[in-house]
Amino acid sequence: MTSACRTLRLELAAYADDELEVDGAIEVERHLEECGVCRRAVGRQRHLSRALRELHPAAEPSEGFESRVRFASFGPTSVRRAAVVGALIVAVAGLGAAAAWRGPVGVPAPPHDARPGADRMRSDALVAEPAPAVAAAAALHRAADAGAVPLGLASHDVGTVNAWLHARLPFAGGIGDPGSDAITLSGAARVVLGDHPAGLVRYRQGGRTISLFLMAEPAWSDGAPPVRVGTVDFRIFQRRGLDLVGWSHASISYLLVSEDGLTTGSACATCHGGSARGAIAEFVAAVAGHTTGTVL
Amino acid sequence: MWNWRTQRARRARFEAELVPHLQAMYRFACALGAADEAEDLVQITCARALERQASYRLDSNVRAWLFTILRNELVSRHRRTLRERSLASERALLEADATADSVELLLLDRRWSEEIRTALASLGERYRTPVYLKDVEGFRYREIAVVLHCPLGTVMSRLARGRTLLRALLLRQATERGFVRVGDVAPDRVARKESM
Repeated sequence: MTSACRTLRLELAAYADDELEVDGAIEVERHLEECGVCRRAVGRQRHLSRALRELHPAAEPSEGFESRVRFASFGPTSVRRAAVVGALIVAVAGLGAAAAWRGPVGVPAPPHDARPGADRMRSDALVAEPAPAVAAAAALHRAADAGAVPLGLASHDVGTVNAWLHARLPFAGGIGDPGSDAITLSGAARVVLGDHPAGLVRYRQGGRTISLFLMAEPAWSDGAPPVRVGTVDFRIFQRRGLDLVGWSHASISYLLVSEDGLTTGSACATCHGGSARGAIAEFVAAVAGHTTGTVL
Repeated sequence: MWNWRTQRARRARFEAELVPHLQAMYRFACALGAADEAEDLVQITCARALERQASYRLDSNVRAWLFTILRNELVSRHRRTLRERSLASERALLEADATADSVELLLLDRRWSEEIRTALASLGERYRTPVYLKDVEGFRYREIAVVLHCPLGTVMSRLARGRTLLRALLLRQATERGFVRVGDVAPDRVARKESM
C-alpha cells in the first residue's frame, strides 16, 4: 500500500459505491490500473455490499401493520381506501371479494367466501349452526386477514395487550401468557359481535393467524352438544372453512377462530402452556372421537 | 372551500408519498435493534411527519426525512444503550482481522443470511446505520448524511470503518467454523506484515 492508496482510501470506497463524479472516478481508475491492492479492496467492498443487499433478512411486520399505521395516522378513510383497492385487486384476480369496512368498532359485512363448499356444514352432531354473532366472528376473522380491520393496538407483549383490553372492555377480560416463541401476538381490537361488545386478540402461529374473541357472556346458543374437558364445556362451530371453538371460564366467554382448531389444538396453546397439554390433547381426542366418519 | 380542498389534496398526496416507505421504516427500526417497538416507532414517525407536514416540500426526499425522524426518535429513547453498544463494537474491531479476500464470496455461496444479520446488529449504531442504509436499503451518501445529521466526509469514514468491522466479524465467524483458514489472508496483508 502506497501513500497514494492511503490518500485515495475514501475515494476508492466511494468509487465502489458508484458515488463519485466523473472526474473523481477517472482519477481512481487511473490509480486502479496500477495498483492491485486497491483493485482487490474495491472488489471486496462490492462483494460485501452485494452480500448485505442479497442476504440481509428483511424484517416482516405483523399482519395488518400497514392498515394500523394508516388508520392511526390518516384515519379510517385511508384504511377504507386501501381496503377498496385491495378488494378490487382480489376481485380482478377472481379470488373473491374483500370485506367492506364499517369502522373500528363495528362488524364488517361478512365477506362472501367463493370457495366451493366453504359454507357447507359438517354433518356432525357436535358442529352447530352458528349464531349470528358466531358467524360475525368468522367474518371478522376473514376481514382482518384481508387487512380491512385495523387493530387498535399493535403489540407482541401479552401484558400490554391485557392492559389495553382492560382499559377498553366493559368486563375484565385478558389472555394468558403464551410462554412459547412459536406464538407471536399481533395485537388487539375492540369489536362488536352481534350485540356483544368484545375484545379481539390476533396472533400468529405456524404461519397462520388466529383470532380470539373475549366476551362477557356466550355469543352462542346452548343448542349444540358440548365437548366437556375437565369442568369446561366447549362448543364447536364451522363457518367459511374456519373452526370456531367457544367456551366460558371464570365469567368470561371465549371464541377461538382458526383454520385447524379442531385437529391439532395448537391454537389452544396460546393461553395454555405445558401444564395444559394433557387437557388440550383430551380436547382434540374428544373432538376426533366424535367426528370419526363424518361427511364433510 | 378552495383552501379546504387544497389542504385535503395536499394531505392525500402526503399520505401517498409516505405509505410506500412504511415497510422500509419498519425494517430500519428493526435493524437499529428496536424490533420490539418497531411498529410503535413507525407510528410515531408518521405522527411527527404529519405534525411537520407544513414544513415539508412535496417531491423532496421524503425517504431520508422519514428515516431521520425515526432515527431521532429511537436515539432519544435509547441514547444510553446505543452508546454502550458502540463501545462494545469498537473493542471487537480492534480484535478482528478482516483481510481475507474470500469471505464475501463465501457468504454468498453459503447463504449466510442470519450470520450477516447478527454481525450487522452487533455493530455500534454509528457504524451500523450508515452500512445498513447504504448496503441494504440503497441510500445515497447525501441521504445518509441527512439521516445522521453529519457531513458527507463523516458518512464516508463511518461507512469505511463499519465495513471493516463487519468484514472482521464475518471473517471471525467463518474462521471459527473452519471455512477460512488462518493463513488465508490477502496478499496485500501478507506484504504489509512482512514489511513491518
